[in-house]
Amino acid sequence: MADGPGSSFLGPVRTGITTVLDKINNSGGVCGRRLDLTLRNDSWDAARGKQYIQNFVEGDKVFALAVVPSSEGLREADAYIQQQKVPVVGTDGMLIHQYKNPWIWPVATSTISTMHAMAKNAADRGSKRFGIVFDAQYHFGVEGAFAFNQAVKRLTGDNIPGFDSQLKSCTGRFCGIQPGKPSYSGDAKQFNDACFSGAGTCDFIAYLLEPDTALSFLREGRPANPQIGFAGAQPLFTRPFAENCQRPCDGMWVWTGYNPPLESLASDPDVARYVNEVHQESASADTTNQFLEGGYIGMSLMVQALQKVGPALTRQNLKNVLDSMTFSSGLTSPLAWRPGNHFANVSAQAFEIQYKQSFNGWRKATSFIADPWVGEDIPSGE
Amino acid sequence: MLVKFGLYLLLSLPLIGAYAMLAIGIVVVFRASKVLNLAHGAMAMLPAYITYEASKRGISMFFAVPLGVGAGALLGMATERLFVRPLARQGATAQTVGTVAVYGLVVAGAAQIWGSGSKTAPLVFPAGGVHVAGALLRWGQLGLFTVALASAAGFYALFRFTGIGLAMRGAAENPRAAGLMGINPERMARFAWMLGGSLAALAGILLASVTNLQPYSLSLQMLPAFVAALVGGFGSLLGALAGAFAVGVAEGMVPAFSLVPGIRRIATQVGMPQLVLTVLALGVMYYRGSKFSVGDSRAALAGDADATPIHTAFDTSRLPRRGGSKRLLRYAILLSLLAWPFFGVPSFLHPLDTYSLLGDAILAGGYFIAASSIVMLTGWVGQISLSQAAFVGISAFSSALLSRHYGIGFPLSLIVGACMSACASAVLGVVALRVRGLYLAVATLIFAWMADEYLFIVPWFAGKGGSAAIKNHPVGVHGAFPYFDFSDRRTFYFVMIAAASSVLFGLLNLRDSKTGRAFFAIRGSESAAASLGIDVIRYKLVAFATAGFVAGIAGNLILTHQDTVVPDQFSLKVSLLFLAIAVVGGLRSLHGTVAASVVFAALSELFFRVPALGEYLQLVSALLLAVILLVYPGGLAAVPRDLRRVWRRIDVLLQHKKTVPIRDRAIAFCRQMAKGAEATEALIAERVVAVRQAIGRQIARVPVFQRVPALATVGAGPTERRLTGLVVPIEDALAGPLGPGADAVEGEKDVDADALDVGGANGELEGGRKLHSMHDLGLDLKTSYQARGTVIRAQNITVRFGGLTAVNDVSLEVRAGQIVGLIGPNGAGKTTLFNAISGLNSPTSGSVSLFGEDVTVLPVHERAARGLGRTFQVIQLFPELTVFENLLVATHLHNPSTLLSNVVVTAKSVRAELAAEETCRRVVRFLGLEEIADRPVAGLPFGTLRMIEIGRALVTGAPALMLDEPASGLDNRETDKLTELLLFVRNELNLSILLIEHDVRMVTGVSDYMYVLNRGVMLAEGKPADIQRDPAVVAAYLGEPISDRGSETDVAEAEVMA
Repeated sequence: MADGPGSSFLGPVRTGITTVLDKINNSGGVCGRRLDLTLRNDSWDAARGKQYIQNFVEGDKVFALAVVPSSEGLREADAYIQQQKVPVVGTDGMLIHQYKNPWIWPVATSTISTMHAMAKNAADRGSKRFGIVFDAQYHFGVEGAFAFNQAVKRLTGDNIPGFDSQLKSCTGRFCGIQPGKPSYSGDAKQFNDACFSGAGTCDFIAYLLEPDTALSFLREGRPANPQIGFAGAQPLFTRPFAENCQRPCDGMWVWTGYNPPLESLASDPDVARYVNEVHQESASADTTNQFLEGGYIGMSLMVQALQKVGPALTRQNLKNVLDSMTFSSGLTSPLAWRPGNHFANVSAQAFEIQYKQSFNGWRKATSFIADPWVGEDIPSGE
Repeated sequence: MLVKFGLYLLLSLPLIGAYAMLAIGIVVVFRASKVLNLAHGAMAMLPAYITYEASKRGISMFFAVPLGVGAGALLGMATERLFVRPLARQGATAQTVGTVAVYGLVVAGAAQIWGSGSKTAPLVFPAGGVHVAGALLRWGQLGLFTVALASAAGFYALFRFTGIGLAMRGAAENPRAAGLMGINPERMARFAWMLGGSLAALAGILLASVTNLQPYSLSLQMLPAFVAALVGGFGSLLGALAGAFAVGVAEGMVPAFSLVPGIRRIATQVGMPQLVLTVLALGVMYYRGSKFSVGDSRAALAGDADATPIHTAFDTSRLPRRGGSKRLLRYAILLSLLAWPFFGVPSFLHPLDTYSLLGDAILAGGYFIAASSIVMLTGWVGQISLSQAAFVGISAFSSALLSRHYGIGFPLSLIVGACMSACASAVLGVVALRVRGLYLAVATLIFAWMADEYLFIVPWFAGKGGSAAIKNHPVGVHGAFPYFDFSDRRTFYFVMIAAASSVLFGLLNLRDSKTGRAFFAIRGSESAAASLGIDVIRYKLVAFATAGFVAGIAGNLILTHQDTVVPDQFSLKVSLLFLAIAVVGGLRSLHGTVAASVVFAALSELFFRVPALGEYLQLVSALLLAVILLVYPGGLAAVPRDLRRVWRRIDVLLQHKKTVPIRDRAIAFCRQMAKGAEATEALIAERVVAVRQAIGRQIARVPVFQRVPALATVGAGPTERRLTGLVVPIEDALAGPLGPGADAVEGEKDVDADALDVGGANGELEGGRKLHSMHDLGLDLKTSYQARGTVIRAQNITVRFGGLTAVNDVSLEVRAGQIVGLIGPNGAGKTTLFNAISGLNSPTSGSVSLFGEDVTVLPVHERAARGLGRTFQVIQLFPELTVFENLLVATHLHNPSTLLSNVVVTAKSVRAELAAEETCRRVVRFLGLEEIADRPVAGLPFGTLRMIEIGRALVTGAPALMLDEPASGLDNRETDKLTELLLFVRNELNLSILLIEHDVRMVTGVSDYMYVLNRGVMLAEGKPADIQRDPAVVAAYLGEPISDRGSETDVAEAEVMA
């Protein structure tokens, strides 16, 4: 993901993958054989991503795919992967199809689960009036927004005011926006009016956006702190975003399904090892980028699974091993996949961005919270 | 509620400001150079990065901003100097495509340097802002708006009140006239580009400081700015400001509609502003565009890739059905394409594998089909399209809908999907009927934008989540014939080969047909095309619909192959990729497009195979486009021709010794021509080749054509004269053009048409048989038009243009077999009257009848169909067609073939084609144009062009001809020949002729009756002799009364003056 709209948070994934790869190859490989990794940049272009996956499988005859940060391309190739029975190991979990495909093993918490956890946590803290601003163009925004509304409906008995089942408009407190606009003043005004005037102000707001759009919108659209708080999902969990956003992001909770190297977790041996290894690979790498960490975890899963399969390496054997193993990296809660159930990681935790005169780092806000509605609230057509 | 709406209006100010600054820059450039600057967004983006970089290095914004603005100015000047000016000779479309190359280079370059992630740009205005009813308007946003207003005012003042502004406007409107007044048009254009670039830079810097810095999204802000410029009329700064207001408000006010129950869901939908603005923009274009009025639209690329004539006059092997060796070659290629997948890729080509190559071939096939629609629409018809990917997408999404809701799969979905695209394209074509050239390009650009932002996102069309994900219904039942597994690349490869071949051969047939000629004619001159009976409106719509259909085929195939499609596959970026493929291929050449498609698919494979190159794909594509445009405008289609040229040069060198005798003659001739000057080796070599080729041609043609005697007698009546014959002595071939501009090796340029006595009408056919009727020329006149009596009657014609009355209550008539002269000083209204009679102008009052039928309300082509042919004051031949093809276009009305029969080449269309060619051959011989019949008309001598235009009118078979200043620009010898020709066609072919002419000697010599117009009114009419003596006529020419004694002299003087 060297370019394209997702490159700001997905680009560094490469470092996470190569860190593990170099480590394992330097230590003699798997069963004495070096792992050969081929990387391709599809610019988060779904069609190109699918074409590249097909070329990998039938042209290059690759054995398996690892991590695949190209969530849009992977989504387009979903049926193809099932048809070809190609293992895709350690994906980023952005989209829900990854959890339904028997040949994909995600390590991340799905966007849907994250939004469930976010809504549940807010409700537990007393929130009753929710609002959400989401990316109406990319799948993660649409899926997450739908799940968030369904969770709120369960928790409060009502849809978020303005909820549109088409998931394509900014109305009331349910605001889908188009990325890349030069100004969001009008959208922000509409949303803030709906949230902060009239009957009952919003006490919790979720921002389900990619970093560029989130920066623009938040600069123009966060005049008041909701009583319970406001939060973002994993695409916003990068240091550049936290630094660039500045004051509008002060107090924002950002959610992740991993253990980032922050606060007390930074001294955890597994987390510290992750940071050290990545920095050996690239000293300037942002180890707080949760997609980079996901790449590291995903590739580690691949290596561990290959080691477990041993010399009798076939795709089916790899699948059998993955569908029966429990993976403990220390960077997530232990992950276990079973046939027909690839929801291994269903918990998320939040960290708060702190900004006063400058970016002051993150504060751990919650421990892991499990998705109470795993596998539910998938919008039709997804 | 109103207060709330007012507030949203206020919040729209940043959008209005951003769009206004960009739109004003676009307008400034357009006004000064008539070029659509598609690099404008890049000119905004790059300086923003430079400012960012400067600020990062500790340079104060006080200096960093001017540095960025200066960079924008430099980029503007560089674009003008390196792309726009060198491409000026190739036309406005080429210049526009050049700016696409600049856009690609700058954006891809910026992404390489700074990465494609967003950065926080430094603030230009202080942080903070004002709170308005709970909303924050930042100082930066207000500053952006204020600067936009100030810029608009400044530029308005510059253009309105300063000398340099006036000079820029003047240079843009009429560079030649401006040049005569001491204004350097090039300098003015450069200055305008510099201003445009600096304004774009300022907009980019200010916009980035209130949003983010990201190469792609920032540069694409030019799209709404184009809408703003268009809504404002594209020529007016205040209009651009108003347009920006409309666009900014439309986008900014959308959230306000969430307050309005009932329309809330629809009005606030993502993409709705883009839909509304597109409808608004197209509506404005439709409303402001002129009602169909013919004019010149030579806007498309004039690359010389297809200089090789499509039709050759006397080469009967050219038709597809008689392909000869070419046909064998085609079969061999097709066979190879079908066979190789079964044998796989040889091992030495490792790491390439069969599977990947099949994928590349499928990709190339898709590229070709999509790009060929651009070749047809832009290359052949001259209608610029920047939205072909959108039509590809419409078919793909339509097919997805059909599959999802109705279970309709391939191949039925192919037809339906393509038809859907054809319909959408035709709707856009309706707008195209009202506008031309670059305005149309803007229309397609906006359509592409709307498709990107709305159509391919809206759930009812694209499915939820922004992506249609469907399963196609396979043909047949799995495991049983005729089941096809389209997920298998090899299977689908054959489908793609079949589709691409069908498109290729269908379009080749179309190009070589009546329809194809009509397309080229429209591209060359709409008015001339209409005068030949071509229904320009209908054929434009046919072109749009056909292009949409072809693009739709590609869309359905993409869907069928991939099972799913996503909007990004049909974005503006992809449209520009298709355009790049067409341009690299040569724009008008289908074979070139095949080659370019393969090149682009191969590039894709290369960048896949070599990951280190992966990030440079866009940069390399843009670079390739730029290089082709600037260095090799003929594109890949020109490669075989240039290789032949090289081979010829080698051949000349190898044959040098054998040509000694001829060389001696050439040296002698050159010395003679140079009158003692040194005959250079280059000149001698040129002449040698000319002689050898002339000999070759003469030998080759002897068995085919019986040469007529050198002298022949034609005509009757007072001007009976002896005419020169047609035989071309070798010495005449030697008299070809000498000098640096002459191309000695090009076979078609080595003979001077003047030396061939072109236009010498001998009035005989082969075997010395004389012409006695149009039938002898193979021209069928409708018998109903052979009636005696009045052929053309114009009664009480008045034509007004606004407050100006150009023609006032004028009546005239032309009777069967008459030559009627229409004279008058410049500005008398002659051509206006002509245009009113032929239908190019609508008379304010009065009536026109042809052969007794009232045709006042009929369009030009309908009048042509009723037997009215014409020529033009400014010659309107089709410059990229050969002489023979120009004549073939005129057979349009006699050719009964249809679009479908043209595509599939039915027996009926073949017969019609052969008949049309035979007719044209006869006219070619009749006019003595054989030697130049296969040469493009561009570059032929003026007198020859006049003769070709008259020949073209003759081919229509029209019994009534209107000739507008046919002797204009001719010397005495040519005028004499023209006179003889007119008398001949009148006497022998019984044509009726209405003639505008300033050459009083000529017009009085041929006319049976004359009319004199002055200042829009009929001054006199009568026999030529009476007119010559009419004091009022003489006074009109001289501007003063004359004495009886001096009348003869004064008429002569008047003639000279005229």
